[in-house]
Amino acid sequence: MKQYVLQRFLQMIVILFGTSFIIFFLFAILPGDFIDSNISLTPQRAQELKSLYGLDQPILHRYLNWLGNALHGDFGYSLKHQEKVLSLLNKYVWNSFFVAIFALILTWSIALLTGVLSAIKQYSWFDGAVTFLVFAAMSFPSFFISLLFIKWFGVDLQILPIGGMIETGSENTGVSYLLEVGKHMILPVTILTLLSVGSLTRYFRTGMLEVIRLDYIRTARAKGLKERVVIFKHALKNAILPAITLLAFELPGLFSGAIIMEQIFNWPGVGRIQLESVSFRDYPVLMAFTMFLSCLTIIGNFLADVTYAAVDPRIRLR
Amino acid sequence: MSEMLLEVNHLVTNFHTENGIVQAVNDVSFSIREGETVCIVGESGCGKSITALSLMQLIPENGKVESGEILFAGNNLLQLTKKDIRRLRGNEIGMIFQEPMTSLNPVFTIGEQMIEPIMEHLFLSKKDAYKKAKELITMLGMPNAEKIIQLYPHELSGGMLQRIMIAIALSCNPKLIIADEPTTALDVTIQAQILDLLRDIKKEFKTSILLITHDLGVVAEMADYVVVMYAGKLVEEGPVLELFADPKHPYTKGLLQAKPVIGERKERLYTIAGQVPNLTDLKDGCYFADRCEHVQGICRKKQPDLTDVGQHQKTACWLYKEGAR
Amino acid sequence: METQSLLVKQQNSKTIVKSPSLWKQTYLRLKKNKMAMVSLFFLMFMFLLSFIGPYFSPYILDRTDVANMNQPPSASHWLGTDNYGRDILTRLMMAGQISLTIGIAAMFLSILIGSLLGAISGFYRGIVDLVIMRLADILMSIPGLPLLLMMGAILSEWKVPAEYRLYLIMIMLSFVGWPGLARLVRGQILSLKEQPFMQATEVLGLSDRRKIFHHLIPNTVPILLVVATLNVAGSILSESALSYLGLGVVPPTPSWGNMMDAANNFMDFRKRPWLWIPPGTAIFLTVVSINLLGDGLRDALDPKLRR
Repeated sequence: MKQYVLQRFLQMIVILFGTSFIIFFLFAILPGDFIDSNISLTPQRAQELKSLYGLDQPILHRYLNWLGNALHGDFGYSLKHQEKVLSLLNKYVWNSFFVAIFALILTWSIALLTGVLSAIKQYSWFDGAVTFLVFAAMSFPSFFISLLFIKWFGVDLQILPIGGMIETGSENTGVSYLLEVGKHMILPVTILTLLSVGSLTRYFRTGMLEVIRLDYIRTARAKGLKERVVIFKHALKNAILPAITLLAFELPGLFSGAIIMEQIFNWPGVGRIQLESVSFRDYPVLMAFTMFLSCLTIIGNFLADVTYAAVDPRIRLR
Repeated sequence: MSEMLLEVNHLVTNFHTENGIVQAVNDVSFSIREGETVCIVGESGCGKSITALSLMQLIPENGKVESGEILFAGNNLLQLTKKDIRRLRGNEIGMIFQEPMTSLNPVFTIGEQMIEPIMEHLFLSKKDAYKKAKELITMLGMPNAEKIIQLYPHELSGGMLQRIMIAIALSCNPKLIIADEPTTALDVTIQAQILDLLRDIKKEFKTSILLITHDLGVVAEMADYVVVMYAGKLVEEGPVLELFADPKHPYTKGLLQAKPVIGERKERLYTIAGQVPNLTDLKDGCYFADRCEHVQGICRKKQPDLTDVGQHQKTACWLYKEGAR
Repeated sequence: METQSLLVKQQNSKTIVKSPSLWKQTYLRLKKNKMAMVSLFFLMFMFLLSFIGPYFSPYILDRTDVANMNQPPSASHWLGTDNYGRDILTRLMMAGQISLTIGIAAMFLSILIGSLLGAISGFYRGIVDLVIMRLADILMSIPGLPLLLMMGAILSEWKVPAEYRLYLIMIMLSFVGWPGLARLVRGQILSLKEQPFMQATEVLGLSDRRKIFHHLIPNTVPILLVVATLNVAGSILSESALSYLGLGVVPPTPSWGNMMDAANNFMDFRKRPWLWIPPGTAIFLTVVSINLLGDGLRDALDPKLRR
C-alpha cells in the first residue's frame, strides 16, 4: 500500500510537470499577445513592454521562469483587470464553487437513487423513462439548454431571474441577500445538474446490473436476508466503491462545464472570466485558470485512487 | 423408514430466452427422507442445478417455475409468500454453491457475512452471533477462528471459503442442506476433506443433504439414493448400491462405463456418442434416442415414463416396458 | 469429471450446430431495439436532409434578401429568415453538412491516432508505452473545453481563413479525443495478448505487423465501433459549443453552433426564436440519436447484460 501511494505520487508529479509545460507551450506559440493587439503602442514602447513582461526570451527559459513564479503563488498579472491573477481568481472562484457544490450534491443523490432503482426494475416503464431522460440529458448542448431555460422560466413565465447573481442595484443584506442569490442560483444549478446527471445515472445503473447478477448476491438471498438488505447493503456497496474514482473528475468537470453556462447567465464566476480573457487575449488569466483546473483534476485523481485503494479490501492489502 | 422431509412432484421450470423457451426442468419428481443424502447426477446443462435453485426459488429472473409442487415438511413451497420463503432460506434450508471464491461478498469480512443469517433467523444479538460464528468455524476444523472472522474472502483459499460457506449453511441448524457441485471448483485433496465434512455433519446433526454433482465418484461416496437427469428429465432413480450394481437406463449405463476404474486399463475409454440435445427445440420421443445404442422405433415417437424395475429402482426407458415392442 | 470431459470431446468431434456470425447476430439484436432503430432512421433522414436537401431548396445559401428580413416561419420560408433575409431551413441543411462532416471526420482521426498509438503502446510495452501513456495522461488531465478554448484562441490568432478553419477544428477535436481511445485500445490489446490465439501467432512466427493489424486490431473492432459512435456525438457537441462561442467554424461558413450565435443578440433571442431554436434542436436530436444508436450497438455486441 505504501509503495502504491508513493508510486502514484511520483506519477502525479510527472503529470503535473508535463501538463504545465503543455499549457505553457500552447500559449507560447501564440503569435499575438496583449501588446501586439494594442495598436496604439509605438514599436519601441511595445518592445519595452515585452522585455518588461519577459516575452522576448526563449520558450524553455520563460517556462522555468513562469513555473518558478507559479510555485510561489505568482501567476502573473491580469492585463485586462489590472490585478494579480491569483487574487482575481480567488475573487470569482467561490461564486463558481457554490454553484458547483450544489450541483454536485444534487447530481450524486439523483443519479444514485434513479440508477439503483432502474437497475433493480430493469425493463420496467420506470427504467424506460429513466433511460430516455438520461439520454436526453446527455445530449443537450449546454448553451442550448441554458438559453431554453432562460426563455421559458425567465422570459415567458417570468418566474426566475434571467441572469446575474443579484438584481442590478440591489442592496439587500443578510437573509434577504442570501434568498436573492439563491433565487438566481436555481437555474444555473439545475442546468449543471442536468448536464452531468445523465452519465452518472447510467454508470450506477450499469454497475448495479453487473453486481446483482453475481454469485455472492445469490448467496445473500440464499441466506434468507431481506431483499432490501441484499440490494442496499450487499449490492450497493460493491457498485458504489468504484465510483469514488469518478468523484475526482466531478469538481473540475463542473467548473469547466460551467464556463458556457456562466457566460449565458452572466454569473460572476471563473468560467465567465475565462471566456472574457479569451476574447481580450488576457493570457496569464487563461493560463492560470486552465492550470488550476488541470491541477484539480490531477490531484483529485491521485486522492481518489489512493482513497479507493484504502476502502476496497481487494486492493487494500496488496 | 424415517419421515419424508422433501417431496418434489412434477416440477417444471422454464427459461424464456432470445431463442425461445428452454425447458430446463421437465416434470421431475423425487423425495428426500430425514437424514438421507440424495444425489442428482447428470451432465452440465441437464437441469440439475436449476432443480436445486427452483427449490429455493432462486432461479434467475428470466426463469419461472411453471407447475408442480415442492412439499417441504408438509408445506408446498410454491404457494408460500415471498416473506415465508425468505424465512425458510438459510434457516431451514441451507445452500452451498459451486464457486466458493465468488460466492462470498468481497467487501465484507467473513464474520460480517456469517452473523447475518444468525441474527436474521435466530434473533441473536451481534455479540452472540459473533460468538456462534467463531464456534462454527472451530467446529468445522479451522484453527484461529478469532482471526478468520476478521479476514476478507480474498485472503482465504478456496477450500477454506467452502468451509465458511458450509458454516453459513449450517449456522441456523437447517433440516436440509442443498449442495450444488460443492467440490467441483476445488483441488482433489480438498474435495475429499469437504466431502468428509459433509458426511460428518449428516451423521452428527441428522441433516438431509441434496447433493448436485456430475462426478460419479462423489455419488458413490456420499449418496444413499441417486437420481439421474438427462435434458431436464429424470431418466432413472434408485438406491445407490442397486443403481451402481445394475443400471438399467442406457444413459446411466453409459455414464458408469465412461468412468475409468483403477487397475483396469482399457485401450479406449468408453464414450457416449453424440451431444446433449438443444433444449429449445426438443422432439416428441425420448430425448436420449439420438445417442442410444438400443434405440427402437417407438423411442422416436413417444416418451417413456418412469416404471418400476427391481425393488426400489425406477427408469424411463422403452426397453423395460412390457409389450412396447 | 472424466465423464464430462470425454463427453465434451465426443461432442466436438461431431458437427456442431453453426451459429450465425457475430455481425449477423449483432444486426438481428439491433433490429429488435426500437429506440436504436428509430435513431438510425432519424440519422439517415438527417444525412439526406443535409446533403441532398439543399438541391431541392429554391433559395441560394448566402444570397441576402433585404425585402424578407427576419420573417417568421411561413409557407415560403418554413423556418423563417434571418436578419440578412437568408432562408433558415437552407442554412440549417448546409450547416448540417458541415457539423456532421466535422463530427465524423474528427471521429475517424481520433480512432486512427488513438488505436494506432494504443496498439503500439500495448504491443511493445516498455519505454514506448511509458511515453505514449504519460502523454495521454497529461492531455486527459486538461479538461476538454478549456483546452479547446485555448486552441480556438490560437486559431483566431493565426487568422486562419474561414474555409480552412473547419479542417483545423477536426484536428483539434481529434487531438482532444485520441488519448481516451488510445487507453481503451491499449487495455484491450493487453488482455488479448494473454489469450491463447495470440500465443499461437507467436508459435507460428508471424511478423509484428501481421500480429497487430491482422490479429489484434480486428479484435478490438466491436468495442471501437461503439466508442466511435459515441465519439461522433461528443465531437458534434464540442464543435457546436466552440462555434457558438465564435472560436470554431466562423461565418460565412454555416454550422449549427454558429447559427445559434443569433441568441447572443437580446432582441433576436426574445423576439425571434426561429433563429436559434431550429439549430439547437438539430444538434440535440442528432446527438440524442447517435447516443441511442451507440448504446443499442453496445447492447447488441455485448448481450451479457441483456436477457
